[in-house]
Amino acid sequence: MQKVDYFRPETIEEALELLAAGREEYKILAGGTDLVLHLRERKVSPKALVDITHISALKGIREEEGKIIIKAATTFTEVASSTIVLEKIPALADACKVVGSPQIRNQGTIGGNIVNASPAADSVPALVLFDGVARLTSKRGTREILLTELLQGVGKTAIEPDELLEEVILTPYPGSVSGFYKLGRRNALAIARISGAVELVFAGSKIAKARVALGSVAPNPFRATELEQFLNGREFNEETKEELIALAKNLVADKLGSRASAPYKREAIAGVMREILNRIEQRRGR
Amino acid sequence: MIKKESYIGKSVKRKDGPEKVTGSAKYVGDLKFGSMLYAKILRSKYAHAKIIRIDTSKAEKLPGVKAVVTGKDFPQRMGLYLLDRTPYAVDKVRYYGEPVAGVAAVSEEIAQKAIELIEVEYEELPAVLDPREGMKEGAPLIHPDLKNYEHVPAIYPKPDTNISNHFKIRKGNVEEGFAKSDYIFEGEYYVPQIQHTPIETHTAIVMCDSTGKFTIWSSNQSPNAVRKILSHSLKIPMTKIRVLGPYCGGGFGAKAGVNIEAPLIPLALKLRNKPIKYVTTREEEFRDTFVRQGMYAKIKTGVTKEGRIVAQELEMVWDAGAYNEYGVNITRAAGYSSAGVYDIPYMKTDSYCVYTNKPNGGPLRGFGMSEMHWAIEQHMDMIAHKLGMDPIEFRLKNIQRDGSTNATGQVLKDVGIEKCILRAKELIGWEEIKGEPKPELSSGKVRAKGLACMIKAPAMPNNAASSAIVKFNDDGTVALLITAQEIGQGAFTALAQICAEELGVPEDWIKVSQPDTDYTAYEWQTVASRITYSAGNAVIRAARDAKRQLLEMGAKHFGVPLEELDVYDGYVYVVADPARKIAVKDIALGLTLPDGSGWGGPVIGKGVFIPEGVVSFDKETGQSPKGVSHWTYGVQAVDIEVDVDTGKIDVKKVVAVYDIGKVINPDLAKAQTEGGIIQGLSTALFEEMKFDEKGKLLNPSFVDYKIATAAELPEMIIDFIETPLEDGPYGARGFGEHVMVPTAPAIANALYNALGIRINTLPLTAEKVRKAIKEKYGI
Ligand SMILES: Cc1cc2nc3c(=O)[nH]c(=O)nc-3n(C[C@H](O)[C@H](O)[C@H](O)COP(=O)(O)OP(=O)(O)OC[C@H]3O[C@@H](n4cnc5c(N)ncnc54)[C@H](O)[C@@H]3O)c2cc1C
Repeated sequence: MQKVDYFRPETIEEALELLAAGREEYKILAGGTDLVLHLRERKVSPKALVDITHISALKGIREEEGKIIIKAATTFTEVASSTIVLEKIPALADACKVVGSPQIRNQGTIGGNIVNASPAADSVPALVLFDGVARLTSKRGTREILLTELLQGVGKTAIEPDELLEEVILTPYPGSVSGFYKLGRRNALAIARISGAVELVFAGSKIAKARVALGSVAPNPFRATELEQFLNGREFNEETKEELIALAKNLVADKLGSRASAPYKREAIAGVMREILNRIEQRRGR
Repeated sequence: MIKKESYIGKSVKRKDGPEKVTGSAKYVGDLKFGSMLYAKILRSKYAHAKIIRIDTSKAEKLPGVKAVVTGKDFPQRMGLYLLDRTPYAVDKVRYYGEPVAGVAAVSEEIAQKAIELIEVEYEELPAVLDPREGMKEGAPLIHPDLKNYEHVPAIYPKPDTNISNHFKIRKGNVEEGFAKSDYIFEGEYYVPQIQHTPIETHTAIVMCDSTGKFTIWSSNQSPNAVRKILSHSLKIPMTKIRVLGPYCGGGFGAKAGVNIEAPLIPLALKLRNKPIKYVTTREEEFRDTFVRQGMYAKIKTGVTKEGRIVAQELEMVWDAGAYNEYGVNITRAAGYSSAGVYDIPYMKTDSYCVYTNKPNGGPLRGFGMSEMHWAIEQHMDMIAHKLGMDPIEFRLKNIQRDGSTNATGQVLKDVGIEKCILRAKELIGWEEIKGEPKPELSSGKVRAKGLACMIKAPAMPNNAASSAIVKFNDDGTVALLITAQEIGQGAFTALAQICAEELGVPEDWIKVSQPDTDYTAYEWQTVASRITYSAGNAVIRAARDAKRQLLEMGAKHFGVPLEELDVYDGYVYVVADPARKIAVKDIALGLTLPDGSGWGGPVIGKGVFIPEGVVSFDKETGQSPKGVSHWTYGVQAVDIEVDVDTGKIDVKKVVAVYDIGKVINPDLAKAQTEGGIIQGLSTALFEEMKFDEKGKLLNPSFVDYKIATAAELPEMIIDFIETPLEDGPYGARGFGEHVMVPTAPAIANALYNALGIRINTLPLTAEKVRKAIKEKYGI
């Protein structure tokens, strides 16, 4: 590994100062579970690292007027065990629980997961599901941008080098039930081959509102609006589930085209959807 | 009377436990010496190529580089059973990854830089990647000199071919057997090459001092074999080679025989008095140490209407890689075990070890049994289904019992497989299976059970020997000097239990030595699941020898005949009057007589063991009245759930029942079984070395080569049957490798019972399962 300078600011202001001074040559270090690997493989060679894990203002989860705000340097372990997350947006807890291994979950952060912009980032489908908005801050000011716009392809984002992702703001539907499921090559320490997240609001036996997001079938996780439109207003029964699964299969087939993984994934999505709906069914009763 | 408590059958705590959990245990990687140098190896980028030119001049000039060696520095061939391997490629390379040059330097970084400065010019040759092609006439020859290689008499290389061993079974005339059969069933099965993935990668330090004496510290299962092989190829006496075995961080067969010690030898010869250390990278561990051989099996079985097997014809073609010095014996072991657990009157087996331009095949926990049973045990289920019989019922009609003969014509006795099957059947809650499965697909998940049996004998030369020295210290504690290696299996604990049991001293008085070939007693190798059996017998004899010496001194001391004395809890006592006793510590170094004079001397016992009556197999027929020391049988039954949409197999429960003769340490036997189940499950679902069309390994990392994790753990129910082995210590049979053998075929059989699909190639990936479901059900 090459030599790099290391800074450990304790406030957001200090961090922003460093990022502005470092221009494009400084890089933010959160849990390091992606970045350290990239340094080793020499995919990136920054002059300095700005470690944000000692900035207490970048940690924590709170609820504010129906919105749930997650600070960027919050770890997967913290998210997965948060009462707010478990109660209001369980899909995100599902996702954070299956990231890597306990060590990775104790170290890796939500912010790092977003900014790394992997197609298979586990938390991202669940964040996108709840209309996640990223709040970006720099010395120049602050802006908010939808995650789906922030993510610009594999490993690409709209973040400027002097910007810090401060938090993500989620807007779940009031009273919704949600779930996430990931299919990997094995049960732990495996990246998602396909993942999905679904949020439903029930009105009696009917689905009043629906959101669906998918991961690992496109350059970035995305909202499957066709599936959402189909679900809106439907009865929540076997027939709807089977139709949803059929539509999901078509959608995945469309997205993947002639990729080598397509024949498997376009069928396996059925199992992923089934599992998510099972989770929602179980949670709905509670 | 003293009521003696036995150590046999007790879950005595691991001897190596405290050292390992506190981090005190030293592995070779932990060892550091002054003036130590570090080695790196330049490896071939071709699977098969002539070496036209090697230019090491730039590397030699790099500051910090102390020596550079290539094949010409040490062209002697070495090996365990067939001497076909050189430490560095000579004239040509035979697999992608083969050592071409080695560097020793003052740091790993400099050694690595030096490696990158070595220029090699190759002329590519056509590569053999499929052994079925490789064994055909006209295939490119990987070892044109095969006919001149030294080998042990028990293997049969075919000159001017790529076949390094051909083992045959001819039991009766198999055609006659097929003629007597009502049905003939044929099947083909395949296992890919896989890796052992020990946590500790191969590590060694080699030093040659100014007198020419070699000292070798190595994470190795075979210190005595390393010494023997190196002494033979260096042409120096064994007093000039000392091999030490600190703790070994997982072996699974990968660390048997000579491995990475060899490429350090020519470096050490050039650099006297410099310990040279080499730590294998994970990538090298995957590709450049032993791997499990791939295997293609074709079986043809003749069966009567009643479901009795009459005849079996089996061809096994082993994908054994570039050097088969060890692999030749795996082919042989599979050959002589090829009846599996069944009593088959007519048999024909051809087991071919075939050179390919791939990583070197070698022992991996099971030594051919996992590969062979993958074929046989699925085939048996397939036949049962075709006959409309329950797979257990079919097995019970055909298994070996006392008086049955196996593939080699040996008449068997003390056969415990029936008990194992019946116990496993009960523990898994088997429901009779008849006819084709009719799964309920709509719920998305299908659950079913499956079962597979296994058999294994220690695969070793007929005269593989063990020995032990029991040496008392001044305070009555005991040094047990053996060269068996503690590779995590618990050998030190089991042997200490045996030693304490026989001596009559507390178990925690026994300190088991780590291998040091200059001082510890000879052990052939820590392989073949043979240590408790073979070294165990040697320890019994050594302890009895030492105990006799204690009793002799006791007899003199008490003035009573030796037969009236015993030793227990650290005292020699008069059996009829236990109050009359003398502490072992008071006589451990000799007896002091009432007049103050001395008598006797320090107590040292010795014991040796060679399994007796093991007779070589006939070259043409593979027949022998007793070709191996003994057999161990076992069964696993699994309960799995298959996701119909994703094809993912979730193993819910595994029942394992083994007849191990006598359970010496229940906790260790259970832990061994649990580990094996997980390893077996891992090979069933995930493991496969993948190569490109040029023979380059594509997945030499834990990212791309997945093994099971704790998150795949099934519920495990483990039980043992104890049918004593005549010459086993307390009746114990060899046990250790057996535990991973039946897991994969049991899962495959359960998959069939779930969905009526049979996948005959390992691993059972989600894609393969999904594809098979789609083909069968169109969904
Ligand atoms: C063994 C292993 C297993 C893994 N398994 C999974 C898995 O199952 N699922 C999964 O999704 N991921 C997995 N990962 C990837 C990784 O753990 C996650 O992507 C994690 O979220 C990265 O977060 P981090 O805090 O470690 O980020 P870092 O590595 O510190 O940073 C990642 C990138 O984000 C930037 N960054 C970080 N925080 C900010 C911020 N606040 N503002 C601006 N830029 C920022 C960094 O500069 C860097 O470019 C695994 C990684 C490993 C090593």
